[in-house]
Amino acid sequence: MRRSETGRRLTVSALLFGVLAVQHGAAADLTLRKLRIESEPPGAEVLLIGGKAGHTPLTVGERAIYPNDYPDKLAHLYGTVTLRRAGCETLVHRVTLDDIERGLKLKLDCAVADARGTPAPQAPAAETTISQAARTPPAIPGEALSQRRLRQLQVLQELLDEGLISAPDEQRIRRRLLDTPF
Amino acid sequence: MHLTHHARMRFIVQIAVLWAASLQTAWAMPEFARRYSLSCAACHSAFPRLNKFGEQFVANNMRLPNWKDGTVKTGDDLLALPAYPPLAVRAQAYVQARDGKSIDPVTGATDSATTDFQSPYLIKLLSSAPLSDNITYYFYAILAEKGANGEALVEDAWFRHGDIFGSGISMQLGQFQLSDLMFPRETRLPFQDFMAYRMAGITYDRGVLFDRDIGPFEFGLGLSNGNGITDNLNINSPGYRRPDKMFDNDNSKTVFGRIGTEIGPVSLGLFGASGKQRSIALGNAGLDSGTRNTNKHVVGLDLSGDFGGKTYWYAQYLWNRWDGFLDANPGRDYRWQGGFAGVDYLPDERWAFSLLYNYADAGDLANTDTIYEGIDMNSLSLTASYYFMRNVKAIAEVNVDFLKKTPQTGTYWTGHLTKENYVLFGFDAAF
Repeated sequence: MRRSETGRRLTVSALLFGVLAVQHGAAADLTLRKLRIESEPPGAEVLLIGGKAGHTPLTVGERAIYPNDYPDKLAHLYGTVTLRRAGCETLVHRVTLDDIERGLKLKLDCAVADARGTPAPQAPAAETTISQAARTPPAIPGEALSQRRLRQLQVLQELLDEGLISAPDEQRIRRRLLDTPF
Repeated sequence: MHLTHHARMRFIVQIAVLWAASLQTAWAMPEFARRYSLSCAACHSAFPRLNKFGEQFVANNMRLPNWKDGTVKTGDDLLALPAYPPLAVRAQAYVQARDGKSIDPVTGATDSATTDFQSPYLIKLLSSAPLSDNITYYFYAILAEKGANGEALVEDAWFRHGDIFGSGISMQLGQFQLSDLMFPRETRLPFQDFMAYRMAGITYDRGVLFDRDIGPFEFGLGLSNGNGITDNLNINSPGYRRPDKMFDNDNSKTVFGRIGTEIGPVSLGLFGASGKQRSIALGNAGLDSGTRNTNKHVVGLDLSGDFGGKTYWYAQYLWNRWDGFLDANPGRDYRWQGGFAGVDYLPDERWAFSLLYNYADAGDLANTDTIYEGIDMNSLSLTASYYFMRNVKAIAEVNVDFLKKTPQTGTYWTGHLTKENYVLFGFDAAF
């Protein structure tokens, strides 16, 4: 094959590829996967592994949830969304494919914080997960361990009823709670 | 894939956080995406290139802690069957125009075709799943590799135990690439291969690999048959119709290993392999194996890093010494060297651009009138990948050969007789 033939083929291929990509790219922004995050009440600050992303309702790109690189010290926040709002419990949610497809609608637990008269934590406090929140709701002075366990299960049921966690999640966390010795 | 002990510990913390993620049905191994209900983006910066989390997932024996949630609930603690066949498919189809001919090294008879529909180029069936708390399997078979219909080829196929006798040492037994200790070929973005690995014969082999992180260092040490995955001997000495085969053709094993660490933003490793290979008989352009087992040594240095998860760079150097390799001069040791270097730039989620430079110098094998004169390469591949979906991409690649054609000399048609420029366009998908 002469060099000129190779060059022509190269040019034609590059042009075809470019046209194809540009045509598809016109709709690219519309089709890239994004995560819609809503909260009840709205206006919660959204924290991702990369830091503050804005306030609910908010739409973020999938790569903001799953960045290609991140500091090791933030590894525990990979794939999570953290919501925090004054007067509400900070909530951390693990993002699944379902979430990306359907969007996240999370209900913040503001009653507990209000009842305790304590403001929502301002520090990242991102280790608090839904499951952990259910497992370790704030202790009430004088509350017996058995009563606390009962309350944990109630919170878990509420999270399920509100659709904030899936049934398998609920079952798994419930099993863990029941398996944990007093 | 190179992880320090600390990095691995961090990963354990990280995946513990992901524990609570619900489970349904992610990767160039989309099966993992399905199993853990994670987006492909969780493990890939641009399919099939792994991001940081993806590399950590692989180092963690290809599992997340909640792997049992995806198994059949039999009530038997000694049984963890995947809830559905854990299969994935990868398919590639290309159109190619290239310099290069099929030249018979002995007769010089030549065939050529400057353009080709290589569709399909490759269809892979992949499978992997955790089978117990420590054991994971992985295999893939290629159907119609490079369009060869009617053939199926098993390449990776191994079991891996993540913690032998509670020692913290992992053991992988099966068929794998020695070069996977450095840069896995399957996760590269360009179509063009890491040619030095192929030329050095450190790709697929059967063996065992032990690895463990100690402090800031990662250690891997293994043994392999040292003769690839096709040679074998039939066991017929006990008598008629004995079905077994031997896959090695001598009593020697190849010892290989790598020590790696991270220095600042740079990962680096030192690789070594030492074993035996059959000599090459005199004449016939070096196409025939001889009868002697000869020593073979490989030393490699690998370096890699990234900038913010958008730009990845890597470099590999290999030094080889093949002692008494050619029967034509069995007292001579043949040294040659090669390597490659590349950059992948991912400006956004739709595009990836790659540069891959391949280099090899036949060294002492030059002017031997054998096909091993062909260990000679100086080319640059430029690749653009456009992602229609996370798992479906179009590829355009141009390979520019900087070597000059060499005229035929000696008895045989060997050496760089034609250029190897090519331009390629096609699709690559995994699902």
